[in-house]
Amino acid sequence: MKRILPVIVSAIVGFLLLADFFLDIPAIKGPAAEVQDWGVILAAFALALAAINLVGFHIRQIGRKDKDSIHSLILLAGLFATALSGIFMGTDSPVFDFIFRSIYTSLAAVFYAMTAFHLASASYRAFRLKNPLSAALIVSGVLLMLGTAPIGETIWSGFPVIANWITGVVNVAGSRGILISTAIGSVGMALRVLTGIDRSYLGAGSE
Amino acid sequence: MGFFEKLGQIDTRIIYVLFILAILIPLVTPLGLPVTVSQHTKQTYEIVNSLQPGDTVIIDIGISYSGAGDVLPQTVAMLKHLMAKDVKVIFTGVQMDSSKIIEDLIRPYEEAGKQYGVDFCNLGYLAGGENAIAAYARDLRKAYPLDSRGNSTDTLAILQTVNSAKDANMFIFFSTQNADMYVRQIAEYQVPIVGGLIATIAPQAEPYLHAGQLKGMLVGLRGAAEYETMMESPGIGVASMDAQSIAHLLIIFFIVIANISYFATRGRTQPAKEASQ
Repeated sequence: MKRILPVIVSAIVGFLLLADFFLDIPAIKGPAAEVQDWGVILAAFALALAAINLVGFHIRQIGRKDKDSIHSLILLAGLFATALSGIFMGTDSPVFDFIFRSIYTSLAAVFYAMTAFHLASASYRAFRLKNPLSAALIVSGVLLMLGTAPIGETIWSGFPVIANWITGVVNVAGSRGILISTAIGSVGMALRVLTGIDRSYLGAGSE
Repeated sequence: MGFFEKLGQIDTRIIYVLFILAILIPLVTPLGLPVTVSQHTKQTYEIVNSLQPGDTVIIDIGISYSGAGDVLPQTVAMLKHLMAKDVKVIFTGVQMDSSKIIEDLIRPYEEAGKQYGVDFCNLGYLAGGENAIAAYARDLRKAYPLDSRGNSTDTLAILQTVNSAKDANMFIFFSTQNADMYVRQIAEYQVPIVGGLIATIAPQAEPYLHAGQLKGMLVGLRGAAEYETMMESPGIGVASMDAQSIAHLLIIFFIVIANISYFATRGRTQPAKEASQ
């Protein structure tokens, strides 16, 4: 029963939403809408559950008192300072605003910006014309970089044209293939889940 | 170690310093490189420009602060355009940072006299990702009983005439994630969809644009610069283009010298490698 009930619930919900999407049956519009609203509520609960899980994990890490405990301590301090200031002082309070704008926002931007540095270093170390495939990757990458930055068209007006052709023809052909094959794969996977053939999401293997 | 070996083994710290300089110098002393407008941006500008005063659009802010540098300037430019045309905007969000970002976007217009709840509203963050988009696209007031400021959405004038995606004149999204979930959930409402994406994700959305499911798309910081150029109102996008240009050139320069080193030393290093194996 522990395994059958979730499969039945998944199947009912899944087929209801599929029917709502593909068929025009007024009677199922209301229940389908209700189920989707439950999904939003469940997602909010999942966030709370994730926070509880995170706190539990890092409390255990601190209990081990090893060299990484300090990282867990900093994480929990940040988590509680942000959550408590937001809950009790409001998200417009100077404390929450400081944490959000001066710490979180800056750090988030820094992490993203760092990828540019890693990209510069990695392109220098890894991009080698070793075979035709790597040549295609490097040449298309260089042409795209020149075609999408203003300096490229200042050097030669043909660079944006080539870049547009790469993104509009070569890329679209590949992306369409990936999109369609992913969609077909998703339909197959969804049918396996909805019919209970694949129960891996319950922690069990396929049967 | 010979010249070509050295060329292939430049210290990472030197690369980083050169990269910082390549970004900083053009920001301090702009080169003023001309920004030509791509077909994507022209198409996007024209469809947004076709909106009439009093029309209402839904803008979903799917932006996290980590990728905001690439996509937020697009949002700023397009909102400026919409506000200038007296288009009403309902803001929604599927990223946790959405609510704060929206407040920052609307504050200057609120201070300039636009009225909250009438000209725009901030419905804030709704958990659930694609499911959240499906829920609010069908019934905004039901999905959002309260707005981000704690007002009941039943009291907001802007939501009295528009309560779902099909009531809106346009659906616009700005995302650091993808376009897929918006196209999947909004296309059925037959409302024009326009998107703004980070440059690394935009190529994945090209098929939607070619198929007409997306009516317009802005691509990364360049898209913002082009939109600002179309509006004849240069902003952060145009200001960043010189830095992006020089950074791209520097990366190309590194790729070229690395490959010169590779070909010049290939014959010499291969036997040594084979011997070690």
